[in-house]
Amino acid sequence: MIGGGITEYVVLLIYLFGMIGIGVYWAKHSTTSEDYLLGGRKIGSILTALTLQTTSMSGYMFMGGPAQAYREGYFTLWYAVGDGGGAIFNVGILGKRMRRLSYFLGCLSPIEYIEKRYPGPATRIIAAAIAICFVYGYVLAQFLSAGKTMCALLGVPLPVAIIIGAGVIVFYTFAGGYLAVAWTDFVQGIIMVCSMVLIFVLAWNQVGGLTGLNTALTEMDPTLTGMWGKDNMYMGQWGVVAGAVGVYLIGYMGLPHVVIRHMAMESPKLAKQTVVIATVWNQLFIFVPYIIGLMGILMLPELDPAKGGDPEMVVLTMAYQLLPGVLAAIVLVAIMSAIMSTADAQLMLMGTMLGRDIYQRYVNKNASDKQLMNVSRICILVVGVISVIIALIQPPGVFQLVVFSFSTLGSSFLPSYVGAVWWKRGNTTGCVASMISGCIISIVWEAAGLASVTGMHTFFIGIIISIAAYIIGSLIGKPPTKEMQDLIDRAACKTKIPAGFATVNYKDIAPETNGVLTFLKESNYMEERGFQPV
Amino acid sequence: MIFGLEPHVFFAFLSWPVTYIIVAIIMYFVMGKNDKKEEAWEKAYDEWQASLKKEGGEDQ
Repeated sequence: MIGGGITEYVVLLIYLFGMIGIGVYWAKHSTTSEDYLLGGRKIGSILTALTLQTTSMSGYMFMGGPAQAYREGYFTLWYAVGDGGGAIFNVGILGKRMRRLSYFLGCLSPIEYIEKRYPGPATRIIAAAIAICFVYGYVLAQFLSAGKTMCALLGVPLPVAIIIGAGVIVFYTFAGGYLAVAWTDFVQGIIMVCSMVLIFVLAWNQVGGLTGLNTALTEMDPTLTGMWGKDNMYMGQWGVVAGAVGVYLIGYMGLPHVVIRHMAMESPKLAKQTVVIATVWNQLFIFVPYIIGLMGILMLPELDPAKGGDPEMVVLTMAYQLLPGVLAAIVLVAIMSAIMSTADAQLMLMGTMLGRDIYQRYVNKNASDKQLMNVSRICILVVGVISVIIALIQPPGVFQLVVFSFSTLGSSFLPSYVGAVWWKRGNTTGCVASMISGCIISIVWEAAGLASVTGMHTFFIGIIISIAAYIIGSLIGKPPTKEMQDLIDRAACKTKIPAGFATVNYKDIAPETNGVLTFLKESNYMEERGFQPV
Repeated sequence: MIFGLEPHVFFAFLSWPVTYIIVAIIMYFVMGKNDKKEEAWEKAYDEWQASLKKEGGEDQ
């Protein structure tokens, strides 16, 4: 136990009540199902950027990431290299087009989006089954992480910690829906990045800056600052490197609870601000924890596992060494923030899928807007309560789900989400083939331990098979309908418009000519005299 | 050596934050330029659709 003093409890209580307050506030502003499930599609660029990134990042960045850097040296930064560019790929490739197409199709959930873009009963059943099963695995793991973190840091008994941590997440998600999730993510994102940067700056002075750090590490063990990990343990394993970079560079485009953020953007035009804000936030929050882990090798030798230490405590121990009490307590809160910001998005998605994709589709097709909102709320509450109970009982095998979750979700959905807006030929056959093959190969690869045998990351092999299946299936299957292809063109602003309406050309010509053309067009001068539009 | 690292190690790991920020800024301007084109396209599209509706209405 690192914390456990009165300061930590006070800061944590203020934080938890703050989160509850955000939930209560937005509960009053969610009046329609679109408000509750998708924030009324009115989420601005800063909020989109932060909710996108905090949802993607879990407590791993405070504990697991720095610990890995502590043990393996610079090699671990391959993960940061991929993660740091994730927002550029995610927003740049999907942002605008997915926002438009989901709006044209009238979708409120990322599974509904897949169903409507690739119509067919098989798509619906398979997509919902994979998403519900593996997102739920994620929710469970996050609840347990929240409890274990509070237990380890504050000395609260685990059952009490799970009930408090998960209870607050369930409450504000249940009450305020997507808007509460987005705004809590925003606050959590600020706390997370400020805490990390503060520790980094103070530790920077202690180790003599980057040059001091690297020189000392090289003197200690040259392989720590090499390309292939401590003792060159990954020497020449490019499959591992490709997996480490690729997983986080493109993987988030396959996670339903992440891509739903694109659908909630106020306007496709916000994508350009979103990409810059998310990328800057990424560089501060992703590279820094790993470098703090490296600094820990010099500053905290007692955490070496060989000496019985726990490198997962690098960030926290450093916080308590470098920061005054209240600020160190805020770092504890930052870890909870990282866990909660991921858990709330997944819980919200569970409610959305169960309400929109199951209840409204199979149970009550004529459900009113109010009914859908209430059912989604109830689903969030029920899923939350069941998850807390399972987290308390911890039945064997259930938490194995999370080991498969990231790779399975990414491999199953990524080709379908990207192909939906970038390849008109992408069809239901390709989508079904890619979901089935991506899911099966990820589970088999992970369960059989083939990742360590072959040196190929599960996601890496899963995504290759899944993309191949999508392309082959789409080429074999029937092309999408003309209407769907028109919608995809429209989402990409590529529909051919007859010349007379192409005002787009007016922008590129001289102002005088532009004025004449505008006059002719607006005054109907040409039509009145029987001329055809040019 | 760059910041105490072999150059290839430095470029493999630590050149990325700056690279990504530069790429994001370039994307901002490229996407901004596309936004203008798309805005004009959307306007033209809406006009076209309105005219189709009008023609349809007149036919009826």
